[in-house]
Amino acid sequence: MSEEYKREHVFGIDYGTSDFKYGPIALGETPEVVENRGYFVDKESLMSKLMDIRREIVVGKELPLFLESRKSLAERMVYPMRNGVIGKDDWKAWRVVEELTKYALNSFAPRDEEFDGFYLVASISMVAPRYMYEKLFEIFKKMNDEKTLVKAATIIPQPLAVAIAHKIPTCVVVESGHGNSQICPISMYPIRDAVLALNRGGSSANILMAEILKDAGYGDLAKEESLVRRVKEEIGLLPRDLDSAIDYAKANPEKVHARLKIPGTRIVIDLGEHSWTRFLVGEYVFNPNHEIFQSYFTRGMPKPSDIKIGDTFFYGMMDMAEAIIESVEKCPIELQPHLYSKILLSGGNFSWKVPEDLKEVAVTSDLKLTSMLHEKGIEDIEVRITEEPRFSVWRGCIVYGYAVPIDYEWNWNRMEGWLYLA
Amino acid sequence: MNRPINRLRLICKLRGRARVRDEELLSKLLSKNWKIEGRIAELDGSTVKFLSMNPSRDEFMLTLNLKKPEHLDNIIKSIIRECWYIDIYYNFRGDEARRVAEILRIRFEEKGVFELKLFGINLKVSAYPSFKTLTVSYRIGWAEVSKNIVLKVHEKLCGAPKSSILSKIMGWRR
Repeated sequence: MSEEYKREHVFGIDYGTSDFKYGPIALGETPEVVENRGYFVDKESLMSKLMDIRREIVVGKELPLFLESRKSLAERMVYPMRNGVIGKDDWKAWRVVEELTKYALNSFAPRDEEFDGFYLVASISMVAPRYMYEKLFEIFKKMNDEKTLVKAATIIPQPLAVAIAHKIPTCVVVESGHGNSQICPISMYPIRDAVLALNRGGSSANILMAEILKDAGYGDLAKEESLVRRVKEEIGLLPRDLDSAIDYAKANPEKVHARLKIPGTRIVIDLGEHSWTRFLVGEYVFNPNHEIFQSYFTRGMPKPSDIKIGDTFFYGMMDMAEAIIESVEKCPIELQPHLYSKILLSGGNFSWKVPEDLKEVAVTSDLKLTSMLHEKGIEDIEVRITEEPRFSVWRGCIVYGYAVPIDYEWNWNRMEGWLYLA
Repeated sequence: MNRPINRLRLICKLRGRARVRDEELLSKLLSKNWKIEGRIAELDGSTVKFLSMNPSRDEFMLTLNLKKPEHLDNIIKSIIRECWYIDIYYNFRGDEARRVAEILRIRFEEKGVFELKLFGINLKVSAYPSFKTLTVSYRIGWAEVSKNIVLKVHEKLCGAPKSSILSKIMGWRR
């Protein structure tokens, strides 16, 4: 097997908390994306038998075709990477991972005889424990049961993939996905002792968005997570300063008025006099400590709690700037200024829109964090949003796969190299 | 061609090991009219981004976002002087993929890899119709570059500029 073969057959998979990004090197700059979820079909139901649905689990783009009632969504839909870590014995979650992996590889496996499996680079959360690596390698090996899909595989933490994609050896990567946010200082390798995780991500903003929808009279829609997420992405805003943004919104209601038609349906969402709450959605991700959120907590919205998963502590309420500072301060003092001077923001949770006529009060994630860090006395900062933050992990996987030589075999101590499976 | 071609990737095999740092490679290879800042070069809105060098430092990968086809010609002619060969990868999505499949007379109905000849060179075409994706790749050396093959293939795949004399002579239309 030659370097040239590998170069043609590098395959990247980013197991994001919400989206599953995948595809071979040939896709260029943009991977395919499906939701990181699987639906367990009720095989005992009469309709399944009548329609001859033999699959136990459905993943990928056709998943919506199999959905049943809203109630069954909650029972049968499994999001395996919700917080980046899968329990060792969570067989349903592992089945979804297996099915998604097979779906991804089969979609792109060439039919020509020369094909002898992909060089698969998978990326998972920085806080994923070792058993997740072992389990994933087991799954990758299983992919070869029917035909060879994986020649060799390697697994890298998501923040490292981001740093690789941007070729920045010394930086802090803040990877904020659906379920959580990881803050990872990197100096050639991730500094594992300094990694800090927040139990807050896009899903926290979705929860708040759902409350806002309820308040605006759309309680029925607030139960559908994918719709809530869509509304958040379309109308949610990140304020430069929350108080000023609210004042602005109240003084200029027509400018912040939020109205959204959901294509292909009759649904129109109009926040009306509640339109000022658009600013709360972004703020909540960066800093949930503002007193305005108290009213939501008192009314029953769950507060992001501190939790421990495996050996990792996920902070619920720590603001994002504070988390970066705490993480950087665990690194050698000499290194700290270099880390502050390159902060990379990656993940879909940093893609906040700034409408042209709201530039005064709404900002992008890099500007927000810069100002939060300045307020805490940190100077000489450069915060950068990665190009297409949703895809930077996948791009890093591809670059890593291209660069790691075929004879560099997997080493469990260093957690790098290719593990040959076929 | 009025729209940017932003799904183009080059893999360049150097004649020897690169002796400069990654950040210096583009300045060493590209012509003076490119404005280079580290790993990114820019010319009239077109950009070249250095993605990675292999560990033996004799091969590197670039990603291109081009505003004008002649920029591709300019890049290739500059780089090939230092290379044994360059592999050029195009990635087309959506309607573009279907259009290119039609141009190349490829059935875009099921997944497959096709090999065909165009202007005397071997093109490898990978079709993924369910994702509306088509990848076209080929290898060129000095001989192909000196025959202006790159521009011909590019214009065939991506369309020729309206004012191009080549397009008028060849009668290519989009």
